[in-house]
Amino acid sequence: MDNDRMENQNLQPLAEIDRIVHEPARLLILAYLSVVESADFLFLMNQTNLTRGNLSSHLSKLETAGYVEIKKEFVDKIPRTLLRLSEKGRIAFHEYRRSMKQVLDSLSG
Amino acid sequence: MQRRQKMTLLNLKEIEKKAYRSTFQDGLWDIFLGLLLLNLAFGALLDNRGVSEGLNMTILTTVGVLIILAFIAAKKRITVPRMGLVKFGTKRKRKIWKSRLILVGSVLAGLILFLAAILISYYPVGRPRILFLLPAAWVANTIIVFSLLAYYLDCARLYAYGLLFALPVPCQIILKKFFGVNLITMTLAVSAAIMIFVGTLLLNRFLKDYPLPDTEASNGQ
Repeated sequence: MDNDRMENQNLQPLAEIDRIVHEPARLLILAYLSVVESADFLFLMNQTNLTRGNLSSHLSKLETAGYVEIKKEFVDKIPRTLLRLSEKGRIAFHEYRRSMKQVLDSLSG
Repeated sequence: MQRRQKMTLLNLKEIEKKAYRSTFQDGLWDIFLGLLLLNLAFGALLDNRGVSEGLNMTILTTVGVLIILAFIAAKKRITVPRMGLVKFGTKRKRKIWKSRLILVGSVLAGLILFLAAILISYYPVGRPRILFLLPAAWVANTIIVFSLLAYYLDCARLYAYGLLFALPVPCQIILKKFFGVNLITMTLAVSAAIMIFVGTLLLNRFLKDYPLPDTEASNGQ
């Protein structure tokens, strides 16, 4: 009984996992954006190997959640969609990593 | 087990490295360095043909500047439209700045060596001993500089290019000593050709792997 309670306590972070971040494609997008200052749509598409539509739809969800800032700018007279991880997104991403690590550590016995 | 988890569960360092290394896939750095070396080979050829040092230096500098401008333009017109735009984080930016400083230092050291060689040629007293030091300084400078660049830019090919930049000079000394021939132009050109060849192969692959997308597609519209 005590063991069950302890296991439940260890797995508690799993219930609190941010489902917006948890989706693999979005996780990959956030991982890339977390290691750069900013990147444009094309760079992210090439790095993640996601299709244009797929990337676009995941970015919309991340933008709605306030995790990603999307800015349209002209760079060298060429229109570019510049993407940047917001502070909220950075916190959510690090929180997700911490929770997942905790869960996986507890599963490893 | 814990270590394995760390390796597989989002290794951000590796992701950043992968993203950064991808900016070297276009082969333009290889072609750029090859052309710089080819420029030196051209300078050696002009020297052999008896062109004055002043004129030779002017031609070398002008062609060198043109190569740098062409490299910057090629990055803007070939790489960015295909690969996209990225600004790396502070750590990486610091590394890039360090590599730029190393390059500037290397160019200055090369210039000093070049001027020293000219001056020595006018003062024949004690020439043999000093002339032995110049190639050694060239080899040390190129190997150290390229090794530092390879480290800071995370580009392993630069270690090999350091050797390709350094080797023509000792090769020439050996060839001259044992066979009495002056093939400095040839040895420099061969090294340059290897780099340009590798660069062209990489560029060709890059152009196939990253076709030019239409503007709307590249903006997710």
